[in-house]
Amino acid sequence: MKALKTLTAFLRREKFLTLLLLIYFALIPISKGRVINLKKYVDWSSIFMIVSLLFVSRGLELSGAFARISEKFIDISKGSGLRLTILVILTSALSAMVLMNDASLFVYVPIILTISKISEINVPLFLTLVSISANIGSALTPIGNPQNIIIWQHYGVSFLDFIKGLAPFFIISFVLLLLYSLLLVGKGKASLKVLRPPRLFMDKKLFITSLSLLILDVFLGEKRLSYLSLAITFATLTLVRREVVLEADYALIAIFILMFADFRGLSRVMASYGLVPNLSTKLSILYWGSLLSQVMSNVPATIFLLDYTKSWKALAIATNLGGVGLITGSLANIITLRLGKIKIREFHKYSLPYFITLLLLFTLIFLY
Amino acid sequence: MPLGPPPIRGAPSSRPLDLNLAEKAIELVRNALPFLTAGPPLIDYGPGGEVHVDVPLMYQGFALDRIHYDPQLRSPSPKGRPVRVWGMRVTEDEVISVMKNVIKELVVVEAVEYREPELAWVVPLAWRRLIVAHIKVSNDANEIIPDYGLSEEVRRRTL
Repeated sequence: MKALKTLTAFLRREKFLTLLLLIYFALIPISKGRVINLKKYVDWSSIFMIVSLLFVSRGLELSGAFARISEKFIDISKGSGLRLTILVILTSALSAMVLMNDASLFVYVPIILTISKISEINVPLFLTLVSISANIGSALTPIGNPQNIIIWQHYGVSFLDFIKGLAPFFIISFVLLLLYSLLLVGKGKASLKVLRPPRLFMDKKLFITSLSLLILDVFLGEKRLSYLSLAITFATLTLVRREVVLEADYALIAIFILMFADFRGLSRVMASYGLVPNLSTKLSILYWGSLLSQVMSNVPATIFLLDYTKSWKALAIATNLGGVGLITGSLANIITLRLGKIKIREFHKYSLPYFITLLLLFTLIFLY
Repeated sequence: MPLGPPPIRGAPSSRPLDLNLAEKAIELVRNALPFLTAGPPLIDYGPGGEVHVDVPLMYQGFALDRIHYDPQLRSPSPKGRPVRVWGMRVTEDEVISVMKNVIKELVVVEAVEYREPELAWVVPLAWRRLIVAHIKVSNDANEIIPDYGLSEEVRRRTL
């Protein structure tokens, strides 16, 4: 009885995991029991790589190295709110290329909240811009976010080809974001007091270890040895700072596994009824990927569409574009909202115009 | 056989320690005080229907320590006295609104302890007459040391 109550309390706390479990159990009779065989649905190579990079990102984040950047921001911005905005957008995008986009937001949202204590900045605007920037920045590399890792591992694209393929998307989206920021922040032009908060401890050993593991993970990911990458990452970080692995969010890992079972299962069940999305053109992939991401988030959308197209580049562009816009587009948006304590309406006020403009821009690019 | 006195573990430190740094550590925490915020309340319901609430003290995205919260009194509980209450529902909004004011009223206690195994100064924070949290400061009194385990727990609860 006690165990049941503990389990109920856990499931109540882990709402998303519970929802995925319910979908999974509902899919068992609908798929005539096929989803029970997880081997056929879960891409374990992607899962191992996602988990490994989650640990490494967390190691980099916990090392405190990125928190040091906030000091530099305040120095370089020299009291200009506009200069500060550009700096934060640029560095959060750059960080998201190597850290996972959610880890990047765990670094930058608190920095913005700290800055907001010493200046009159528009916090919801600033946070929304940084959330978009982390989503856009993470799109460039295969290790920037979970959907890119899945595409990288599933299609067997090389690391450099992936970057080459996504570079035009990143450049166009980022230039648009800078113009959008200038338009919105330029009006306010907040001024900053030059005040420096005391430094946080920087764990150099953890930083160097995590950075080395990141390079090793990319190398092993290229060789499709993600299980080895996870084993080495787990063992090394346990020795260097055990909190990174022992206190990790294992429910999140279960969520990724269930996402594969649920959304791949759902897509195959639908296919068995002839309900297959038409992904014959790049434009149809763009719309299916981005709009589905708006509804079900971009990682499930990627998994759902994975078996229907060979065009990895269009799928990556579509699901990364779908990460901005509505709050449901990506986990990164939810983190911004939760950490920054801003209202959904405030987030959408700034994110939706950007999403619509970007979608129209890529519609034109894909048409011509 | 009669039992002897309990053994003394560990040898007294032979490392030199600049005691003037104690003042610097206090000053560092005092400067960090305006930047402290309340993290997401860690509300746990036990199988017996009891509720336990801790509130992480956040600094630049890292948790520094947890403050015990008493749901019945709607105020912090002193460090070392976690509170368990039966048959109550606690909302996040309620805890956050109380803790926002508590954090504004926190003061730095003008005395420190030193933890040799961790090579860190520990500066207590008080709310009214209660010590509610400890902030760890590096050996040279230049940096604030986060609670890594708690930082991870806060992250898990945020998602």
